[in-house]
Amino acid sequence: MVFSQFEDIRIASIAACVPSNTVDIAALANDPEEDPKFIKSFMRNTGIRAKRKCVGVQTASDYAYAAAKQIMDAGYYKPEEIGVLVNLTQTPDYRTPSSAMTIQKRLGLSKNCLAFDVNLGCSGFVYGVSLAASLLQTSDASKAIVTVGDTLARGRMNRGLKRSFNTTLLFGDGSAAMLLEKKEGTGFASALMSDGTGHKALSRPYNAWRHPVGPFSIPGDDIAVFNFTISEVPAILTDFTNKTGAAFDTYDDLVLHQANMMILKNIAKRVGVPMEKVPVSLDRFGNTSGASVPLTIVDKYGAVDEDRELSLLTCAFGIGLSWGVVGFQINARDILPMGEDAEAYDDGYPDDLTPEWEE
Amino acid sequence: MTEREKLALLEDMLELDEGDLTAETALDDVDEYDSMAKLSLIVLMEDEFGVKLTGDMIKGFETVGDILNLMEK
Repeated sequence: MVFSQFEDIRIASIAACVPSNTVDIAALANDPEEDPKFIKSFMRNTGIRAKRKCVGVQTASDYAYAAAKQIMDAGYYKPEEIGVLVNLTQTPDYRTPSSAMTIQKRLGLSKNCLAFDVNLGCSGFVYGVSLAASLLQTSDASKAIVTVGDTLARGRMNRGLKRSFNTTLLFGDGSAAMLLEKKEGTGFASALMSDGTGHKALSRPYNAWRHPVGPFSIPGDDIAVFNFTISEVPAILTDFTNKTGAAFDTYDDLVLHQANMMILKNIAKRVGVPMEKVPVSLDRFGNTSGASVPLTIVDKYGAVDEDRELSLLTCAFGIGLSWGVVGFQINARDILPMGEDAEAYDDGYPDDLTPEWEE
Repeated sequence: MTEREKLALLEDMLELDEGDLTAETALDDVDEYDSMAKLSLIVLMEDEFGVKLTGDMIKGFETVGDILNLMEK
């Protein structure tokens, strides 16, 4: 594992934003096109009873912008102070350029800022925070924004995947934003890993440059992903606590990527952390991909307005395969209330052009 | 552990009634043995019997008996 210890850098604020549009999974059992037994089994095993789904042409970057703007409006930064903007998504606005560019423009950040996307999904939070902290540590920039999120619930249900692990049923939409800043006496650590031999386990191989035409998504290898999760995730968590010398019981919470309930319970059991210390947001928000760790923190502490130092151990894992851990301190009052709804960015591109492809 | 006890573990996992499964039951005929159930089976086999199931092993299961054969306890 790649272990990083960041000095005099902290996560100063966290915000998240979700659509108000709610999908009631239980109600889908009455949908004649769905299988009631599958829906029941899905809810029992995943723990997901509802989720949020964006409407119209809203994208992950709309929600990312809204979350980052919430932190700005709360007075944590001025646009000209931001030197780094890292956006992590697998549902970008465009093939190119990075969604980070539209977020930079909308936030009014200056040109004295580096901005780019990273193509990662569920592990986005730990990678984004670690990347931004690394850039702060080695530059003269003083503040960084990390945005992370996806809109994997968007689009129609994959009816053809009924009775298999339906990913469009699993995922909920939303994005989160973190402000990182230099501050003397602070610091935190991260550990990151990835395994390219698992690139086919979760993949959307079509409609890019190797396979220009094809379906929007294909089924993943659920068993390979599950086995990866229940073996690699407990291992990196244990290695991280050994390396830092801070045992699990020194943290207020173990915030895990909200993959599904079966996975949360198995990881917690394997590292010996009681479920009372593992916050759950997936029951109401679904698997919110890269946003799930910060969104879960916001879900638990966003409405808590008290001066309370929290010590959080977070772990995120998914497509790549990639996974990692971040352990950090934050004051509960710096975790902002959950935002709802975001305005779709009007970029001015026409939507009525004819699709065409020729080799 | 007797075969009946092993079958009971699988029946419990699949939320079936006692006696619904025999070693000869074809897994294709068990509606409850879906993709989520296969993940539950991975956990059950590792926690109860220390057996790590791979995707290929699971694909190779045709009858309940194929699973029972890996339950050595």
